[in-house]
Amino acid sequence: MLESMISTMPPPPEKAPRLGYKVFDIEIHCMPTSLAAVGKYLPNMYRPRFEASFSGAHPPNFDQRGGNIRHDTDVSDGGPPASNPELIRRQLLDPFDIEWGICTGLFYTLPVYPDPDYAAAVASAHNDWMFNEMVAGDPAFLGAITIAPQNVEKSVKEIERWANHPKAVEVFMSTAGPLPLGHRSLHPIYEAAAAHKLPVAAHTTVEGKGNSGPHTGAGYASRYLEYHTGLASTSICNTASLVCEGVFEKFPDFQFVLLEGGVSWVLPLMWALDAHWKQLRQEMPQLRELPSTYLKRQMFYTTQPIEEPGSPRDLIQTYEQIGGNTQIMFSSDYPHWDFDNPFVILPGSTAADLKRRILRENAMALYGHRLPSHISEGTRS
Amino acid sequence: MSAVATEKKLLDAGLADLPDGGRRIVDAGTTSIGVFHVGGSYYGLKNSCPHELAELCRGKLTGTTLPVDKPGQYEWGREGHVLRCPWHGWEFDLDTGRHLANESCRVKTYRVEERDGRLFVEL
Repeated sequence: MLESMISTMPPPPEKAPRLGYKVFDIEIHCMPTSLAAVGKYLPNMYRPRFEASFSGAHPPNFDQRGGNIRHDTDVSDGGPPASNPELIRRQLLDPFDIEWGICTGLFYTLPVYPDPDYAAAVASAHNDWMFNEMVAGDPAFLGAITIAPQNVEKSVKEIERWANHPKAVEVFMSTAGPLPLGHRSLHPIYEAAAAHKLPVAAHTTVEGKGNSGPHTGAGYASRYLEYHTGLASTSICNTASLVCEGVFEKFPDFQFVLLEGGVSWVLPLMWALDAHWKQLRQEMPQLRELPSTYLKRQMFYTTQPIEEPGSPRDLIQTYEQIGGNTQIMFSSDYPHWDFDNPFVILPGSTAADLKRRILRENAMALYGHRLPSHISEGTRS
Repeated sequence: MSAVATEKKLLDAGLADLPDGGRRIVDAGTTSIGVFHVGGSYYGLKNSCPHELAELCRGKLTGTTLPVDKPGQYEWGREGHVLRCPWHGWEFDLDTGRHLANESCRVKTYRVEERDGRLFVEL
């Protein structure tokens, strides 16, 4: 109502502080223009179910301050937010100097679907849409291969189906599910990803929905803030599980990227894992290095939503101690409501080198070998 | 006093035809300012959130839950006088520019006056 009353003169372009280098964005939640855009790739038997309501009836949910989309998202074409590559370029890629952005999409919900066959079919259809349509929309776009890990066999096939696509850079799923992520039932997925040098990225937020456990380690929360901060509890357990189940040791090429799971809790987790491993390693004789050594080498984190201690120095010190020089990467989460502005989230003067690594270099090191070779750095201005 | 007043730079912010609850974003050279009309009064705020530099004045003009004594009590107030950032929902008092949860955080406010059917922002 109030929004319709806005009359504006065009504002001047915000005097954006330029960084002197281009940004690599680990997560853009691009969307299809309609469910039919994905549904057309589904077998006939699933299409009506998907297009009527792909995830089933929506369960009651937390308030996300009036929806989970940035209120100023450019939807001037009348389509869903982040469904039009031209608008994504205009509102995200150009203003924030983003050279590469990984389109993850929205189907990190699939791992908690009860029906493993339907979930795998939707993952497959989503990948058809992603790689045939979405990533073709802008040269900056890279794509994630969505899987439904409750269907291990189909997930492996899906990874193999897209592994050689020039714009496929990682495998994508959820942190939520019926079991911790290190569980041996999931190892064939990790083995396939590692064999193709594809990191596996997992996204928080469907905790408490579908076939997952409660929202938090303490049970079902009442408020969005409890739930959102409580997502760290899932991430802590998943990280410990990946270490203790020996995934990093078993697959030396396996690399795990945690999306939207927070970062700073990793430091006390490393302390605890290292300390107790010295006492309890008998149970896990396959682990030949300190838990923190695996994490500092094979586990990656993303910044959004950035943690905001009173003093940015506290954040920088924590980042440095957990291996942020190589393991932490910037994600914008566009067009979601807790989007982060890469120019301002880290101190550019006192931590210039770490900032550059987080905004660009660490992602280039992790994904660089998969970037389209015809558009390498230096050929784009 | 009058000598000081004459030195104030006024920015023409267009016709005073904003409906109640309406707004206009005006270019002030190096910055951008949101001009709001609420209940017969005009308000001016810098169009930049101190948090992450979003265009604050494109956020929703709303009310908020007022401070109460007990959990489970809710009282809605300040309708039309709370501006919420379009990104993270930070709430600012339209009248003072102060963040509702952090007194030390403030967005710059500007006096807006109506003169001969036009709006002017005092820079």
